[in-house]
Amino acid sequence: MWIGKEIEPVEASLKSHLSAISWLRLIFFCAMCLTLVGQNESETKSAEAEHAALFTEQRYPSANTCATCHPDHFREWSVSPHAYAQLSPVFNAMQGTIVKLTNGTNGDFCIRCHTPVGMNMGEPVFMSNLDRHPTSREGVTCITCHRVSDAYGKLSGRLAISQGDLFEPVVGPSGNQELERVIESGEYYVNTDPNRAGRAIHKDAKPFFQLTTSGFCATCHDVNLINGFRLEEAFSEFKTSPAAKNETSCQDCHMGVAPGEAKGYAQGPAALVGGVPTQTRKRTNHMFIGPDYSVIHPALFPHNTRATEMATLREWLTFDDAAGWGSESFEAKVAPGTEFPERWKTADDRFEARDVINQNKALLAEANQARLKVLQAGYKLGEVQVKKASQAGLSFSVEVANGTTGHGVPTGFDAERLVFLRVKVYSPDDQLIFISGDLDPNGDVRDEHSLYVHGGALPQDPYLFTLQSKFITRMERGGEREQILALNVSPDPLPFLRPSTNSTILTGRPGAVRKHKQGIAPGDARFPEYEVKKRDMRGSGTYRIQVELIAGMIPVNLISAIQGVGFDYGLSPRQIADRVVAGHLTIASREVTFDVP
Amino acid sequence: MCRSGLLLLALLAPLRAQQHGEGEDPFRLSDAPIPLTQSMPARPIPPLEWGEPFKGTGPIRPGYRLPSGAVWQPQFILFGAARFGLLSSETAQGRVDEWANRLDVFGNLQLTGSERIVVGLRNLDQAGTFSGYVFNSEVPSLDEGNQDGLNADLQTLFFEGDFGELFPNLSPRDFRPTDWGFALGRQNLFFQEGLLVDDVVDGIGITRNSLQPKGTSNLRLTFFYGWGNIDRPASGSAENLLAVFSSMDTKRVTYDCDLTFTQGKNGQTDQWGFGLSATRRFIGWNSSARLLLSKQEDDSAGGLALHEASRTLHHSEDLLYFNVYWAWNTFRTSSLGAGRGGPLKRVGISFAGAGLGHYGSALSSSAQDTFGFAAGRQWFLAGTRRQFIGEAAARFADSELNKDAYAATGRYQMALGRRYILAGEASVIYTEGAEQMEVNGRVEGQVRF
Repeated sequence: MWIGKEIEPVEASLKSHLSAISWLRLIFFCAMCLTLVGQNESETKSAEAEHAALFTEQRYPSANTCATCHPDHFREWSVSPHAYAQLSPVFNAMQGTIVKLTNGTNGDFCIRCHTPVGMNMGEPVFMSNLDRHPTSREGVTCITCHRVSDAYGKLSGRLAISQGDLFEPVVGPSGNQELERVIESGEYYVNTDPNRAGRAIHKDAKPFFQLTTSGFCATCHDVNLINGFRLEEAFSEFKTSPAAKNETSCQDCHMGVAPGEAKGYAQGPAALVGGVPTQTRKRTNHMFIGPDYSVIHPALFPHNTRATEMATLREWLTFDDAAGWGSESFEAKVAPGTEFPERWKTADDRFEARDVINQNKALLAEANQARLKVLQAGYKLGEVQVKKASQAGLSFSVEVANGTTGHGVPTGFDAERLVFLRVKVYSPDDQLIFISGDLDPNGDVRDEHSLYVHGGALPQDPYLFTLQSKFITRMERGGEREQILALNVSPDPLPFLRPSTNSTILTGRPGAVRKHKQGIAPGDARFPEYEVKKRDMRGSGTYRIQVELIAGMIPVNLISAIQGVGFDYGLSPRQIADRVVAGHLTIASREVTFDVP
Repeated sequence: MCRSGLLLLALLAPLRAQQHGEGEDPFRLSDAPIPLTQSMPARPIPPLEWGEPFKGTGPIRPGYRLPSGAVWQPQFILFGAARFGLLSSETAQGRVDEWANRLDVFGNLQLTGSERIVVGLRNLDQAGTFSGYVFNSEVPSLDEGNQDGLNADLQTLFFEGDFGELFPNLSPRDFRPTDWGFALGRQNLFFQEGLLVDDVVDGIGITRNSLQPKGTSNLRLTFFYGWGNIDRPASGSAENLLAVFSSMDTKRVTYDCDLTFTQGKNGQTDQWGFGLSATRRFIGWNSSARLLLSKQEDDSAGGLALHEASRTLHHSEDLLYFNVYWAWNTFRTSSLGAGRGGPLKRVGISFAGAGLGHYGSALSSSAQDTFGFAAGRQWFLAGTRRQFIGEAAARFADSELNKDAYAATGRYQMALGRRYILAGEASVIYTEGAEQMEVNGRVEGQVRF
């Protein structure tokens, strides 16, 4: 008999009867558990009521307020990923999906970083951004960093933000000296007293040198989930990197003059007070450009004070940018009686709106150039090495290297960063005989998460080279599999996030889920190999290999995985996917030709 | 073998074709806007929380700055799970029919993002006795009637943290690699999927993670020294545990390589353990290959090779799996806690017990001169709120000491509301030479808090 071998022998001292007291204890304990576990937070917080109260409080000044004296900082920030963090409909749906699938236990974990102000105000974790407080929509806004006065370390974003209006102190890297001069000089006509008229200014700028350290970035860019899962490790990777050894900080590469490279800082005034510049000093760039880009209406992002004054977000969403409203060419052809939404009824309003949108598009284009530069600093496409070229087939490899010294590439939210090679081989008669890294009709690479591959309509791309990390879940049985979201429903059907009961510092993962990192270490390179089979060859002649290294913000399959909770701004999954694909950037490309005898 | 084969065929039955209209592309993302859902679950409040609401909204307090430079924002929650089950199973000594309960309660005192203290109890079970009632027992040492496992023994009590975060003043500009992680105290260890180490041990571990040597994407190295509570049911208790655990991500494969040494207590033999695994996916298949070796001072050595293969089926999230194993001589887990099953528990659900009452595995999970397999399918139903696993498994004897055995097991689980699970499992077992088949079954409720 081989059944039940693992059962521990029952102790000889088994008690056959529970005492009455023991039974009472048991019943009391169970009753307590059942009573307590029944509690749920009210789901019916009225966002409108919250807003009405909070509008008057001025606890968390808006970036628009800061823009008055810091217009250049505001301009850079307004198009930054920090400024987009909460507006992103992909983020909103993704965190909503996780909250839903974890039965509410994920709470404010994700969104706490994306809108610290909104969470401080007690806004619901899932709602339309159209209904959030305007400062909440600003995402990682000015005060997220400049009203934090302690070094919290790897905190996963739960920063304590000091409350107070514009007059209350802010923190900065260099302290109060220049602010004191501005206040005392009389030259700037500033006022530190909220009860007096005059140009408002904060009464103190407290020195907080940690703002200049990588550890400050770590408060949000080293993310450990509730259960100890290491979701993002940008700072941890940095700590053992050559960059740290050389004393190059995150800020040196990501707030300097060259995106992604430590080439020094610009010089300039920290503020323009009443149009008068303050003293020139080290001037950091607040664009913090990264791999993300906007997929929403160009009047909603970048943040624009003119746009805010002109119309509400809902009104802006009715402005048909694609149709060319407000452009000379469009307005010249508007037929009498053409219907427009109430806010955009007059041509003057449409012209003004077009001006705002054009301004925003110019800024988006500037950010896109910076994005290309930071990606080009991070990824280097090497040479194509043809190893075999005959009518029996081709084989070749391509070098992809990490161009940074500060972290692996990709880093951060690397499980949703799509960086891949598109490789095409053309025959002497210019026929495409080999392709890898092509997109399915949704815009996904053909990995196992492509809806077309998963559905069996397209074959998986066997040569696909992607650096995207993968979420891996341990199945109840059958080993581990990749999933789009790091939620495991295999051991049981009720994901319920609580702190891990094991040490996750020692393992870096809770029991049933982990991340398989596939990026390139600092200073390292990969050499993916490709083969063209004999049956695909087209005789002798000159063949051509085209290679492109492409970066996308997210894989399209993520949109499918999170669509169940809906998308903000009335967007369809298709629209978002199209815009995600439209934002793909070719970081570098190579082309080689060679003869096959 | 025939019975297992028939079940296997049933599991491989063709899938229902996806229904969609003619000319429609079922995989194309929709052009229709999807409005935001209005039914988002609220945060389930833990029975006890102190400090900020656990993952709740609202302002966050600044905390306390320590002389080391660290800022602590203490927050405590009580959480855990309760299980209640009616179980009937054939154990090695005879059949047991029972009602059994288990309560796992944990307290988590979070100090910073990386530092915390965890305390854990299992109030309703102790040393294999689960509070409840035995209706019928054929086991000589187990009396029918009430069972009392009530206790207040500490099962878990450890502190974990990161030196760099505890003492940030050691590297104010963060250029020094001070982020050594550590965990100290009574803690659960689980390595090589519990086949090498699966136990609660008193000890200290030190780790480096997020290392990126060339050729890798990530490397973690952990050193552990354990001095108490080390259980070796197959080779006597041990005094000390020394271990090196490592995990390395490469572009395609994740390797885990672990080495353990347990020093026997009171004249018991010392034991070495080794585990190596390679996990990868290729063209739709998931593969986890694992090799485990154990060697004792008296030269008795054993090994276990296990391969888990699975595939997610087209049009669904369902998983088809086929796991095979081969154990030669006797493979012994380095440290194995009570009620945690034997080394073959990962082969299939037929090789694993319930962790509740006396409900053991359908097939023995001891790794002694045996080979076998488990093939099954996990169906995900109602989204992922319900699931069913059907499995056929066999265990073949590789020596005259053992007998061949076969099992078919089905397990159904469903989520109820936001905190409850209802589960049922049944196994049919046939052992070579037996006059009749045996049946195990259980029904269980779980509450999460």
